Amino acid sequence: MPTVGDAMKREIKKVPHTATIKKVAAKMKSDKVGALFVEKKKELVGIITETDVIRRAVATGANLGKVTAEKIMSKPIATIESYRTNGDAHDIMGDLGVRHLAVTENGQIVGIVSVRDLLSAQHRVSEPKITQD
Amino acid sequence: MSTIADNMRRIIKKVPHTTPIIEAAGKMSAERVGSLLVEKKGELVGIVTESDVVRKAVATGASLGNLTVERIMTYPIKAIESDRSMQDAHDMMADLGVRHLAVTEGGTIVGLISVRDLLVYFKRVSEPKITQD
Repeated sequence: MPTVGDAMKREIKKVPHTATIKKVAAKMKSDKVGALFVEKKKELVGIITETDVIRRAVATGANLGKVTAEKIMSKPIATIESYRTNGDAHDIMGDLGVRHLAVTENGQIVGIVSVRDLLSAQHRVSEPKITQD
Repeated sequence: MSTIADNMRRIIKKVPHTTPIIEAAGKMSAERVGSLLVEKKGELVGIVTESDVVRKAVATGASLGNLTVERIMTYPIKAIESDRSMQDAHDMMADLGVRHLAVTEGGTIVGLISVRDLLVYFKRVSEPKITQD
């Protein structure tokens, strides 16, 4: 059974908690990602997504050069252990209404898995079967 | 084989092309969607997504009360006919690097399909088979 460990991206892209929304957006753009971890005193304390930026900063008319990542990030970070199945990851995303989960190994964050990562993995598994229909 | 018509959302959420980014973000937030179609002179001319707002507006430091959706929307709209398979929708999203496709019938847009709709579908298809592994 495919696990989160197979589907995830084993890298931690992050911004300091003091980064402005404008800076966060610039990093999302250059790194081509929809979510970034937020770091404070060497600890990952939250996750900031495109949806957070849209709903909690842009939509509210916040000053995007002033408001910081810490103010609008999602916390606590929703996590899943890497040995769990992709189906479990999907269920958690569905329950929480999120597109990204931090992936942990023994409680330590080692990467991230997105709805798109799950889809690509799921698709690889189901493709040969679907074509038999 | 299951078609897009069976899995899509048959609803068109749209904004006028002159809508300021802040307002579009407000509508995304209120309707809990990640994209909106853009209408100009009775025609759907583009799609504006969370990624467009983050990467083309917030990241650039543009004035979001003045900038209109027409300036940052993605166009032409990437569309797929509703009689095509979910497989085709997945391949097209992966190839284009997008999370949403407009769904057409006879060339007319009748709704939208998202990466999350795909995931829900592929999970349903593969789950009973995976548990046999």
